[in-house]
Amino acid sequence: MKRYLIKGLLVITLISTILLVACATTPSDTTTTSGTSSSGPKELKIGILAWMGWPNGLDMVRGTELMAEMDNKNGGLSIGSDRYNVTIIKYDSNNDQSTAASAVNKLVFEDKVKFIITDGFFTSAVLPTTDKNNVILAGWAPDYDVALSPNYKYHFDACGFDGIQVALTGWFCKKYPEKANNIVFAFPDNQQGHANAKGNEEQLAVLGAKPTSVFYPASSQDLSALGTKVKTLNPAAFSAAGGGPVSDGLAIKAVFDAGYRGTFFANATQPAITLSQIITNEALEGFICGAFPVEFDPAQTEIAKEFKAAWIAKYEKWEGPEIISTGQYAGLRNALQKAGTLDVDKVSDVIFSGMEYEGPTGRGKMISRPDLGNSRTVDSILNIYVKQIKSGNPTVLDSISIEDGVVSFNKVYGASK
Amino acid sequence: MLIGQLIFDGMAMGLVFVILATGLVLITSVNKILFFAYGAFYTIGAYGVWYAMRLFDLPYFISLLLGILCSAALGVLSYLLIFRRLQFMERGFLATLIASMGLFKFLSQGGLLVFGTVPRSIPSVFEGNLNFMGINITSDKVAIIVIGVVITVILFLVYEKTAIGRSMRAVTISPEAAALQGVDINSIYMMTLGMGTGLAGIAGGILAPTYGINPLMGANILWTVMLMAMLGGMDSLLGAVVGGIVIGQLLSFGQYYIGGAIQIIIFLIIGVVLYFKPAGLLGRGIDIGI
Repeated sequence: MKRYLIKGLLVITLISTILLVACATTPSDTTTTSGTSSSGPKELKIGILAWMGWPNGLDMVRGTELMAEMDNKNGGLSIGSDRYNVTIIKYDSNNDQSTAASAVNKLVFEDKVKFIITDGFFTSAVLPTTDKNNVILAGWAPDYDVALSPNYKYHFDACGFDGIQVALTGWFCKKYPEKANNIVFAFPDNQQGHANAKGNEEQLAVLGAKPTSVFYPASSQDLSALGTKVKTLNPAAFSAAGGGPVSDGLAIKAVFDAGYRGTFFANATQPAITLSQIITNEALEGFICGAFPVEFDPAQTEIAKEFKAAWIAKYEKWEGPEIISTGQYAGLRNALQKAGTLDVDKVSDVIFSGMEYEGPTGRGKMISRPDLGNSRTVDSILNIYVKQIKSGNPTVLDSISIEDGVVSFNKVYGASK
Repeated sequence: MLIGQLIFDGMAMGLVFVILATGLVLITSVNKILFFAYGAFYTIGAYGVWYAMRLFDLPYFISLLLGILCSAALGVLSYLLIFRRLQFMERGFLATLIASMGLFKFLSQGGLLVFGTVPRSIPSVFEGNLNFMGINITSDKVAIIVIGVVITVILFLVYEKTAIGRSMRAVTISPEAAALQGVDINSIYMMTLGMGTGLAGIAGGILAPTYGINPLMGANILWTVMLMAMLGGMDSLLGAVVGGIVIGQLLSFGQYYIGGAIQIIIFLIIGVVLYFKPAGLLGRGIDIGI
């Protein structure tokens, strides 16, 4: 009896010890890039909400995590008198609004994050939650007239998506006015495509050009009919930008295969590596498009060089990932460090006062949106490069400064800071 | 000549859709599964070709064979691991429908992680083009048309003239009666899923040199193929052929004259057809076990 009692107590003690050890080391069910130590830097939690079943979303998460890892390796972010290691907490929106809303609720109420980065699919859907709970949300939104309105106190867009389009369009109109007056733009026939088309037509009208917009089925691989149509119209220039690298690449390929030999241009930043997977070098020869400093070999800025090297070290090769949204982290990081505090109001004050920052996508500056009634600098312009593809490789054709970008932006959207 | 160009382009488009639609119809009519994961096998076939050419430096046609085998083998594995049990359950149709959606999600997400986010390309196999009476005829589209016709003919011969095809048709009409006649219905189900997914792999491998490869290509094509199959009849191979060719021409002409709105018109046409002929143009309305 006594022996059984002792054995029983030993078993219970062993099980209890195992359970205690298991509880102490149970990993979080969200991915983090860094933990905290009791004596080292403090922890800064940043949430990411992105559709990770889409290449752009996945690349955005990877790019942001990599930037956080690089910051942590350098001793963390210096914010005020403290240093912070960045912990990324990511959730997949699954391209579903209710999933996105649920994820944001988790980030805000369970994970208690104060800073969230999103890829743009559901920015407007989650803004009411984040804004109401004093959480800063960084993300592009296709319905920017809603997202960037003065109604929201804690939202900004530092990826410069709209600014890139305007800057490149302005550059093209100035450099090739005769081609800008006879240019066909192709867009996918979905919400984003139509939104881009409308914005594009408005921009070009202000900049003094006359585009023709044509639409193709968003999910189609065979765009022969589009090619035939463009060949028939025979404009001075053709542009496909707004469907993403794959759709835009297929559109350009179809138009080239149909026999069109005018100027190919894109007022977007399609990586040459990605385009060359779909379009032959012959079709790409002379193609003019926007580019980030990281795309060139060597990269054009120090930050871009470091980021590219880190990406290659982690993922073994550089295949033209879509990193436009890494600008959100770059902007947020800069704001935190300049504010010297995690207080969201003080961080917001920095962002909305014309903050300048830099990331792998280049130097950026926050600008206001007077056309949306917002005098705070909620949008952004980047120092964007213009590349021309020669023998399959991107070469620097020009660089559009932030100031030049702002000039084009002001023409289109009214006087911005 | 514009009309000729649109007809030629529509034929190339349609033949690819025919290959895809026949595979889907085969699975739907024999296995009684609405196979939502079908698009993923189209993607896997394409990536299989790419990997065989890039990693093992194999010629295109050998790589194409490997890509097809890869898709077919995964289809057989899916049957053995997932669908074999579910098919015979009560409310098996719903169970297999949900399972196929889950399989699609699994393969798509897994594909994104394994294959990466960057589109891939395969060097063009058929190069060159000629201008015939104003029609720009490219070699790759001629190849697609020829291969599409050959595969469709072979499929019909197998389905109509061979013992396996006879067994498939018997299982389509009544699995119980077929089993009583000595047909191993498990093997037929497995073979059909393998054949169907293999056909998806063929389509992916044939199109890869022309349109490139990207992780989302399967999702994009799935709905168009389903529409085609519905138009022709979900249980009719001939209907799939007719549906594919019709949709191909509609898309070609529609995209030129109307743009993306052609898809709305196609939906309307299919709606009208199904209103008057619920089983599709050439479908027999066989019970698929809902």
